[in-house]
Amino acid sequence: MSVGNEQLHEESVRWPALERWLSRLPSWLRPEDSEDQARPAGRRRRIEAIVLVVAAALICVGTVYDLTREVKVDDRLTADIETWRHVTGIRDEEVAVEQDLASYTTVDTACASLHESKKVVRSRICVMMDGPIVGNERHAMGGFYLPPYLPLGPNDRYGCFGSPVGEHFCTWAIPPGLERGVPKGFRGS
Amino acid sequence: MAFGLAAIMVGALGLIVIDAADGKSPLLPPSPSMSKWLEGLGSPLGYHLFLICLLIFTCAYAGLVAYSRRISQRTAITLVCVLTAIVMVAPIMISTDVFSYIAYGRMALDGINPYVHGPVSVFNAPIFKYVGGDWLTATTAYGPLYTLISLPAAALGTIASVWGMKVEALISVVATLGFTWRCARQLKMNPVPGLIMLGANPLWLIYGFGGAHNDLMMMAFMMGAVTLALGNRDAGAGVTVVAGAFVKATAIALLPFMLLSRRSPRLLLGALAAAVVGVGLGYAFFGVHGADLFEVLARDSAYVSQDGFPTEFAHLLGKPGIFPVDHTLLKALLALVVLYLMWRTWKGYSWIAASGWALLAIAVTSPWLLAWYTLWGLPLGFVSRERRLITAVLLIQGLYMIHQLSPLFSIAAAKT
Repeated sequence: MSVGNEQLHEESVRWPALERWLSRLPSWLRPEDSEDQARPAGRRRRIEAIVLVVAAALICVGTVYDLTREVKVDDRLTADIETWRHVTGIRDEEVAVEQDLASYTTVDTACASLHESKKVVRSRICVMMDGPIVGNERHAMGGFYLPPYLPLGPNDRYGCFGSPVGEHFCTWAIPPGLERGVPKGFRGS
Repeated sequence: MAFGLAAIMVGALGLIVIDAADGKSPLLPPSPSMSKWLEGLGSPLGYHLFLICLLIFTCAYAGLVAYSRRISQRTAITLVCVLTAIVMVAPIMISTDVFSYIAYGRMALDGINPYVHGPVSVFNAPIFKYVGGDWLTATTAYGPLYTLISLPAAALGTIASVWGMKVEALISVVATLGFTWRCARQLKMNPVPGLIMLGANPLWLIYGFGGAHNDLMMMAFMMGAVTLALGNRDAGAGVTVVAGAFVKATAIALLPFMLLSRRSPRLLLGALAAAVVGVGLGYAFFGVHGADLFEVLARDSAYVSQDGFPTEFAHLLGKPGIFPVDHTLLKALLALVVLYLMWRTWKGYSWIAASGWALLAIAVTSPWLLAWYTLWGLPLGFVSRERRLITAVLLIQGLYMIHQLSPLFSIAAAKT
């Protein structure tokens, strides 16, 4: 039960002229000082309760569904990182995974830097993955290289291997002195 | 019983803070070293430990709320003070927003308009490296009063400025709880359940106060306005609610319900006078952009977060996310809810409860939902004694927390 307005404006100073004008309105339009003066509210409260319960149920179902979806996505991204490590044979590198948010497929692209020394990055190698998780890994479709410090833009890819070769994924000529070639762990698409 | 639950809450929160002080956690934004005396006592805070402690804390909180009518005032005040003190000594948790607040203050001190430029314009300032990556070019979303209040803290050194913001947040916490207590006294209610419900709330403590968010200050102004209105000081109530909107625009949600219910010329004049002064201040210090609160609201309504209920619902319907048409539909739904609540207020429903429902509707229909948004309606639900509103707010908070639990169930978290 909520606090009625009659408890809240006992001494509130109102505009007499406005109040007089409002009192001449038809009863359905006239303001009330508390819900008790209004028409019986039982039916309205029941309808409100039904609307609230339906809204709560929808939100509950949506939250639980989204939680399970997120768990699946987390597991997929973990498998992507494991796959990248398996394909490249590099274990101690921080791998970033990008999802396909343009066409909403489950094809992910995992990239990490190839270091010349601790501080100098030579290039980046990206591996693309699809399919279900099998043994904590996914199917490596192929991949490509990127010059250091550049984002995953379509114009900077070079040295494609696997299925990206057939899809003309690499538009950039291989720059001299940069890393290239098929990683040892890649088994072909 | 109450002491046992309180001890569990203190233990769980203490563990989070001790591990947080060790740094190097994905739950902590890069931050100036603030809790050095706690370093070495724990291990870096992992998702698993954090979420388990959060769940334990929340279960104890639920028990304490259910039991709160039988708790003495002294016990309740002591518990809330201890929990607040624990979070006060912790580093900034979960969010980088406080560093943006300081950066905006720093910009204003340097003569750069934070309503026109983003924090990137002070990239040489030491605080800049702590600003969240998504917000480097974003202009401030907060009112000119908040920007001006932030200036003294922003003028300090890096660590001192963060402490300054924490002190501001602490004052807001004390003010909000104090006003809620005073409202309960004015309505001859037991203030203890309200104090426990808000002051020991996990989202209030860990997410809101833990991140020193300015929503706490906005809530202090909101509850100040309610206190003044209950004391029949309508002019002061009008001034305070509008001042709250010049901290964060969301506070303006209270005003239509206050006006419809109280129909007081003093309230209207107070609100108008505060609006004129606020717009004048905004214009004088920050030009036309500083005076336009609605420009910020329009920009922020386009943001989308993964935790928003509309996004979850879109996923349930098989959609990848929220599209522009969904933003329009959500705004229309919110407008319908607010209009219905205004009609109910006109016909005698409590304006305090209606304001709380409106704030909850804003949070639920917003595609950009953050934990502290779910707090807005809670003190209003308590003061209005509207059990349905309190239940709805706590349910929404519970669902928000459930949505955070995915790392507990995934292989990724099991390995870390």
